[in-house]
Amino acid sequence: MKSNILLQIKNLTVEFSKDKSLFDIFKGNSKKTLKAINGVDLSLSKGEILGLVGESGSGKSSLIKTIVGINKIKDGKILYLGKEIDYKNRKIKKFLSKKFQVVFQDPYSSLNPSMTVFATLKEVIKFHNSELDYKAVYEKMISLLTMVGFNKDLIYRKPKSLSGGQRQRIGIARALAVEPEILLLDEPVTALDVSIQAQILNLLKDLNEKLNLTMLFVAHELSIIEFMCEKVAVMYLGEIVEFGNKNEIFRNPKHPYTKKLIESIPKLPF
Amino acid sequence: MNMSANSKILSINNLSVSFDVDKNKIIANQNISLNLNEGEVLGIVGESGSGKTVLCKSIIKLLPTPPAKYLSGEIMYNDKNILTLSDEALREIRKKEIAMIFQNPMSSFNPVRTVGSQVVENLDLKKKFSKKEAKFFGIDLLNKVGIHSPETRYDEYPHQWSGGMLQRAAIAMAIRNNPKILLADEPTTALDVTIQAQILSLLLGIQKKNNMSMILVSHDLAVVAETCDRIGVMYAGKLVEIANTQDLFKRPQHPYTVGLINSIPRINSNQKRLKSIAGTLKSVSSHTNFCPFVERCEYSNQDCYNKNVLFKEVQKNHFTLCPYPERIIFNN
Repeated sequence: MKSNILLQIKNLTVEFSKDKSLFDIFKGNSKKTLKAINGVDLSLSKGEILGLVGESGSGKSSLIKTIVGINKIKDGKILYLGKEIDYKNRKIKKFLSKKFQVVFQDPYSSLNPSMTVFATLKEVIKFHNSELDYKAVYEKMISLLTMVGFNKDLIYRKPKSLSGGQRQRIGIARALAVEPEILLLDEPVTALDVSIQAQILNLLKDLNEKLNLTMLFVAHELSIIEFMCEKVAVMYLGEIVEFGNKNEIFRNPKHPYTKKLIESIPKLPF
Repeated sequence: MNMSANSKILSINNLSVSFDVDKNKIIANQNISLNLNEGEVLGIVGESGSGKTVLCKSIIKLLPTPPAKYLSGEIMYNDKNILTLSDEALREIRKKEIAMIFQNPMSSFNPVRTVGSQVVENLDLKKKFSKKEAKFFGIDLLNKVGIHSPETRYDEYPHQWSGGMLQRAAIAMAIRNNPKILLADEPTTALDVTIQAQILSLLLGIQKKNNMSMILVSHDLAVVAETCDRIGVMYAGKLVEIANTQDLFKRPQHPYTVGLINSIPRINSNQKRLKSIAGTLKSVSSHTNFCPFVERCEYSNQDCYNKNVLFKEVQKNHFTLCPYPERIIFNN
């Protein structure tokens, strides 16, 4: 089933330059670098939810940022439908934003505080469908908001008068407005309360089933990954240390880090 | 667990706290009554904005007044009401009797002073330590909380330490004068899962060894389930249920607790969907007599609004605010 593979990451390495200390400058030490992602291979098939776990600093968010072209690639390549994405091409940005959309962790800082819900969504819809008139844009917006379960009476509000759950729904609606092929979810429920978290997780699962939407789901909580995903990749210090079906990984973890991770999940007593 | 009345170390009676924000009044704690027994670990769970931290900070009167305002109630410790104590007496209590650990270890240290000097800063001054002795004591403390090679680490600055290590140092700071009560306000929320497990076991180890009482505040039901003897559930400023851990999970007697338990994904359960609670938490601006959860509750009807709810004991040591706990369907 090779044709099903949407996104393929091959031997990807990303480096960040570290701050040089005064000592380094005097000694003439060359650039210090930190390997955020070190030789990662990953592939994403149409319609699947791939879970990516790891602790903070393991390179999960860096990977997402690299896919959408924010981080520079040091080595390796990313292929979309078998074709390598040329991140150096200036025109690639529109293509990237059309195919991939990101939902960020913190719904409080990922929305523009001075724009209403209406303005936020209109901007995205207009950018990708400039031929649409006002009415069509409005209709598209309403259908999006219905899809994510957002009350359409609130569209002239600004983020400050919305709750965290409502903001995250707008974040998801904004990403879906483009009709992307892949939704990259960077810890979408970490900043939310438990009861709201369940609502958003259900919503994402519904979207995956209804639209056959492909998702890369980053989280650091294993129980959420277990609920959402079929396949799981465990990241540790920039490398993928274990990859497989969730049942295999949860029942029979092979890598010591995965074992430790599973042992340390607090469990409910029943 | 000893539940007799004379083992009570702290008792909160009918506490109400409000805040004045932009001319609006928000009631953060409403008629809260609870007891803490000696050597007990009490968990407090609830969503953000439910008043957990306010309750914790009220216990050592740490809230700035204004904007905070203690409307009613008392907090009795050693036959003294903490809310009416003088600043001098309060300082003594905060130093020796009741200590607190905060959520974010990065922001609970002064970045321009060494970690070691902050850990020993408030050592009981009457003992009059010399600088050398204080350092010796500080290194011993850091050793106790599991910091490797504390001799060299002692003179480092907070930015050189990781979050988990700083939280360990914060624990060292809290236990330096052997307090009777430790208030831990989301001590592991800012940390990774593997570090969280380490910190929790460290806290519990110290608690057992010193026979301390501890209040552990968390929004994670699983964390409190693993660590606490008794759990209190808060919603919109009210304590809605309190019970022994076992009872709370086997027979929850308040719909909000049921909702919380159901909305957590569980490992190896093959759930298709999570049962979420509809609606969102709203802040409370006036005293209400009915249950705060009534708008989101699936079992509620008109009666719930008319009922003047009281915190009642449905089983031994199991209290709930729900007037109709018999309606709840909970299967496990």
